[in-house]
Amino acid sequence: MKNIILLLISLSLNQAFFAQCCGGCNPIGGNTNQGTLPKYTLQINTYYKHGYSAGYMQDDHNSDFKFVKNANNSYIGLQLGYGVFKRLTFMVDGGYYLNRTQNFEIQSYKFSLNGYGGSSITLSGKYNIIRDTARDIEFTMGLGVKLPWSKKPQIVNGVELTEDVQPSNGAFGLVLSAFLFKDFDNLNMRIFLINNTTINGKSIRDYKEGNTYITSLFVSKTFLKNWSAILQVRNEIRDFAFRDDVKVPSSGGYRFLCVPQINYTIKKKYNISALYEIPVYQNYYGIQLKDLYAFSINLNIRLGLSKKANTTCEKS
Amino acid sequence: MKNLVIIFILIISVFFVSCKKKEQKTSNDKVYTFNSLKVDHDSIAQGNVTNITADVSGDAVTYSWSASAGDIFNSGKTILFGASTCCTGNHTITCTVKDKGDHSESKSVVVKVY
Repeated sequence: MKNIILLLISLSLNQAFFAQCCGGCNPIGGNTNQGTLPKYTLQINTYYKHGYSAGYMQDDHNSDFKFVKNANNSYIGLQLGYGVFKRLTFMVDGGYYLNRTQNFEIQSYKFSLNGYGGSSITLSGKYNIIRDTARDIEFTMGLGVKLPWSKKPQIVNGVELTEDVQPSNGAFGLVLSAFLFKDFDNLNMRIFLINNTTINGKSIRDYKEGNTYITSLFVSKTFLKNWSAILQVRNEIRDFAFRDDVKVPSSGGYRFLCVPQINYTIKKKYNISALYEIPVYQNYYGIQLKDLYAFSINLNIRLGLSKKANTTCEKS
Repeated sequence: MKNLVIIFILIISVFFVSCKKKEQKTSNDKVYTFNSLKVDHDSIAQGNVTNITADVSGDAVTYSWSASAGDIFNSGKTILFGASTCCTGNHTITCTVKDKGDHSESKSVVVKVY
């Protein structure tokens, strides 16, 4: 186990040394509220996410700037996790943009730019540092590397697409995560606090997306036999982007979101959930396109690959 | 019968010779001239666009376009270049022309976005 952790850390350091790490292109699915998996347990999580943006914002208020009329994207993600040891889980996370589209209306002309394809693959490990079963507290930390699906920019009809519609940001990245969990068994309620940090590198176009710092607080309550509701309050901070080592003034910012989520569990193994992201407060640096909403549908399957794991799964 | 065989061999020979000549033409001769890359406005405000046209004379070619930043609309000989708030500064727009024989030539223009 010691060797595997060392290997993971060294891999991450290599990526951080040779490239400077890449971008938070992948949408956040509804399965971020997960710590480590029980030993020999395989978890498959697949999700579909759709996002829509329209209008511009300058700082925290609407701007009358016009260029992109609206933008939307549809993304399918697959996340595989495996409990290698009691306290260590390995994860592979990848995704594909069915479309990443911007529609323009400029001087009475209408244009559309559309990218599609693989986004990135993240390889990560999560290690459970504290597991206090008496007080139902868990603290887990994770470390991973983000690999671009392609380092070359996508070209459609002989035209190289802009960064905003590229399916992959073409750069490597380093992902750090922390997960704190507290179960209030007598109230049928659980609380999660999660932080995800993504350190982004440069693409071959010498463009560096801003690093992202996402902190989420989840409150989960079971209200019927197989139904549970989750309310997520999320803070997202994105640093400025850099092009040719020059800061892009209209990039980065911070926002708060409210994300209601509903889950249905079948036979303690299958979990179907739907969530809707509502931006509550947005503050963008400079003038930027405004996110209006996003929704996801998730399917989560947990399989114990041994009798022992099955028992542990049912307990957890 | 003998005559028929000779005629057949002659036809096949003509076919191969003509094919060979055609191959030589496509691999060795550049069939176009890339005269210039013309931009209507070399300075535009954020949210505006300008036409950029490749002046090429000659046979069928393909056009590839890229920009160091900003958006390119349409494709082919003439495109529109525009930029939103992301992209103030000088940006290089490059057009690469290629023929069937894989002869390529690139030209660039610089557009200032303010």
